[in-house]
Amino acid sequence: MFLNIKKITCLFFCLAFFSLQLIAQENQPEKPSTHKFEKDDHYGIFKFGLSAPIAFGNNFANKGLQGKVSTNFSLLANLFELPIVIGIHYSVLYQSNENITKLGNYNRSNAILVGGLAGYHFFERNDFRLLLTAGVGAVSYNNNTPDDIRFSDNGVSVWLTPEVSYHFNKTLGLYFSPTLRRDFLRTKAPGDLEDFFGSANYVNLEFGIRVLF
Amino acid sequence: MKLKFLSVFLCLIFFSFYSCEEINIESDKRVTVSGRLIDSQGKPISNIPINTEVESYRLGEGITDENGNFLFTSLQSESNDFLIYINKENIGPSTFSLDKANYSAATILNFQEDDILNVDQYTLGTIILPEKALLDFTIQKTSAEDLELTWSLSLFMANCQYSYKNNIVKIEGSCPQGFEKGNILSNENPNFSQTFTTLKNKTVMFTYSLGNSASQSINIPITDQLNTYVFEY
Repeated sequence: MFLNIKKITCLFFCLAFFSLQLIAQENQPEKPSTHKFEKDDHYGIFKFGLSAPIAFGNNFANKGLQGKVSTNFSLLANLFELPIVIGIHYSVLYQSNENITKLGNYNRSNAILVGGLAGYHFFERNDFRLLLTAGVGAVSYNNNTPDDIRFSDNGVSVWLTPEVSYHFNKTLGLYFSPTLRRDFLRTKAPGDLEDFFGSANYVNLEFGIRVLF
Repeated sequence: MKLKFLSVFLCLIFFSFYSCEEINIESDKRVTVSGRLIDSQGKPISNIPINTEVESYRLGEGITDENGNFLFTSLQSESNDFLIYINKENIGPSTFSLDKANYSAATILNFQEDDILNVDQYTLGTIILPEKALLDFTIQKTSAEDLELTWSLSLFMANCQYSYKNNIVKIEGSCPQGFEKGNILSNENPNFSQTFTTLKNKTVMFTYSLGNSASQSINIPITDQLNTYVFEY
């Protein structure tokens, strides 16, 4: 876990360095901040981030899986001329099975999530911005046994993401978002285990790069 | 040359795909396996491993607690060849040394047949796991006479087999009935020695005949974990 945090931190500084390099290459001076959303502006946002998943609750993810890292991609665009954004989201959550007795004999689980999201973009300042999004999508836990036999647990995922970002210029920024995510799975299991395998809760502490175009 | 290389390459690809023909694990499904292990005196047995397998692929595993209870989650295969092994480490060839788990093994076969995918829990109840024992068995020729010895050994297996269909039932002929080992010894091959695994507090029946004489039987009591019997003729 500490190793993953180290990797994520290292990547964060790499992204920051890359961003600063781009700022240095920027020739045009920044427009003075209007502190207002420009209503006639159409724009898109591409986000790539890494997150450290933290599972909680009495479910298979918290009691058996050890989250490593999650890669996240989002593509958003504002709707009409409003600060409302809609988009698509793709993420892969890499986990390992640390409790075979409770979960069954598999060692790796990659949870792939594809979904749509909608949100509200707050332009209180041009450098610091807030984005609140909620999403729903299909999730598939693709599991591998030690003999490399594959099977999956499938369902629906919903999530809520408050995001704060810092933009070096109009195009490029860094963001941080603590995502609250709940997966509803259709895994059949006897008795009390139906609930245990039926859902998973996570807090994803995500940070990454954000490009407006 | 290129054609030959290409054909070998295509064969390799074909066999690599063919070898990937593995079992199918059912998605969106878990089953549980639970029960209790006791010894022949009714005492709970702890630290005994239990696991589920289909075609040698392990799908789940657990271990008994201090009260002999076990409960674990297993994956489910679409194959109906679903086996539950108790103390599988102790299943194997008839010769091996005693380890810390001095108990016999058991294999439970699923007899749900076509209905196997509808099983979501295997409630095995209380299973008696007898103690295993070793018999170091030796036949030595001490006589100078030209004799032929025909012999057989009938002993209890240390791996009982059960069938499962709502509850477990012992399969006739597996345990406590045993298997027989026999041989004919002559001047060319006069001696025999082997260590057999069997059950403690049972007897092993040794039957022999010398030449054309009538056969005789000797019951060898298995009282200890390691037993020795030497027959001289």
